Amino acid sequence: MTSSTINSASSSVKSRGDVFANKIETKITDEQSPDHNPYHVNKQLIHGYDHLDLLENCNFADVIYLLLRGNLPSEKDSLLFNKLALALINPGPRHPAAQASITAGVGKSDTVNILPIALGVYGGTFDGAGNIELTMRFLRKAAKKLVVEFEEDALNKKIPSITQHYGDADTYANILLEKLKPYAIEGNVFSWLCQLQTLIYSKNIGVTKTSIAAAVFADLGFQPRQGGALMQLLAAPGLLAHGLEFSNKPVTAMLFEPDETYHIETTNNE
Amino acid sequence: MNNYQPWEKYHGRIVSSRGGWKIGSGVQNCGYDMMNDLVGKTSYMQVVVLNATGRLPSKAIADWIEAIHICLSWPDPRIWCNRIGALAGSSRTSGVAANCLGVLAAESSSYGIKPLISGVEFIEHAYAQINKGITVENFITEEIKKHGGKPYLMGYARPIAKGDERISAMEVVTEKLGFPIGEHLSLAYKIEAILNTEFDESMNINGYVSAFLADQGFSAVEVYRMFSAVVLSGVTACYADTADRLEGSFAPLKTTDVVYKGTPLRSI
Repeated sequence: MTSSTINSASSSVKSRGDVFANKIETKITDEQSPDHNPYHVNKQLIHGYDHLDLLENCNFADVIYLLLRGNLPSEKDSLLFNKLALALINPGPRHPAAQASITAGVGKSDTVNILPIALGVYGGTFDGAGNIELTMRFLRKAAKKLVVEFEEDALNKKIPSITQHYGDADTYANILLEKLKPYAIEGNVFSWLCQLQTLIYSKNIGVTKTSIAAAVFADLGFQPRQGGALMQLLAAPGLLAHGLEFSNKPVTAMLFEPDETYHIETTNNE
Repeated sequence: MNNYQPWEKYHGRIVSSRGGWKIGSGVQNCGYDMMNDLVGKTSYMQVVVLNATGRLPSKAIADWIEAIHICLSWPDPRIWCNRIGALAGSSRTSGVAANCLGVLAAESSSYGIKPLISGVEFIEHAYAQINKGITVENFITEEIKKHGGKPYLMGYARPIAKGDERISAMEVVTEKLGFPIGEHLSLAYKIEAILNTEFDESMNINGYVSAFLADQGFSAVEVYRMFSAVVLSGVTACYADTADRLEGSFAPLKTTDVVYKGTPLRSI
């Protein structure tokens, strides 16, 4: 190569001199070491609470809340967070993420890979966590206004996670919305969402599990950027259970559509 | 002296045998200058093998490995890793996630990457046994005993279908690239001949690839690292196909498509 072939000034590479942290900082965890080994821990604080105290005195969901929000939930918020976690816990075997989980299980993928696979698919926008950040941002703003102002947009599917599921308003999401009302109705965003549902459900469009989760998360004070991963976390048990159920089954226990039902479309390359 | 001393030499620093980027002086890769020695002078697959093994293979070996990558990944969403890609597309998961999830699924004991490890280990074991003086017939008899009398030797008897059209395609590639039949592959053919006569079973593509790569001096661990993303292109195809269709439309299931065989309704 001769220098005459180099035309771009980018050939000279220099550091920009950016200053990077020389230690990571966190507000979540403080670990302390015993004298004999600085890689070991003999005490851990989570947002100031001794981990062992949490182990003795708290339930699992409360410590998830603590990790993400920085404080333990009030009794009322704890109840709501637990109820939402139960509402989302099992997307069911027909959900594409559960289908992926089952496929990984029956395909004898390493069992430690089943959950990441299922949660990855659950990160999609179809009945999953993919749109929840956007939905939380929208609902937090919209809930400050009158719900009737949004009826037309909702009916035209212009509100994130307000839609149809397989062609109709989501039946089970509506049931879950009703079931969560006693625990969540005092929240501004959830209350607003319920009002919207009242306006639109009879017109065959409505809330989804994603919009319900978004409303509750927003009322509990979670940030939109936390929403997607948190929704994945809450759906994980059901998704994992279905994959593991199939991990000991023969590969023939899963669908393998016969050639007769497999239609290959013609393309321009033929 | 403390017990954590072995970790201390890595504390606060990165140690790499492969290379890295030193700003202003370029990118080193296994002793090669990336921009001057590799870019435009080697194929992508040569660099994949270099990164996996630390050794730069010949262009011919890299071309062979590229060809087998084509053989081992096809756009059929019924294949498990591809099905996950298809489900991801249908669910409007991101393309990058879909590809990673499909690759992750292929870390399977049934298909994908793990059987390649077992395949290389099997043919190396077989080769060692034959060199000790055991006949091929006796070796097969002993192996079949391990599998309850069934001829399910690693690298033989393909799941779902009998026969493997990919082997004949790769035999053409092998010959075209000028590779002779090595000692491991030769043994693999001998095993196949016996299994074919006695059980109507033949070598599968895993057996062929494992034997060829063993002849080229690759270890099972190196093969695993070289082929980590072997299913990628098929996953991409299945993702792209369903991502362009109606959401939720890949293999949608009605409630009646799932049979419940658990405990009937009960109260808490």
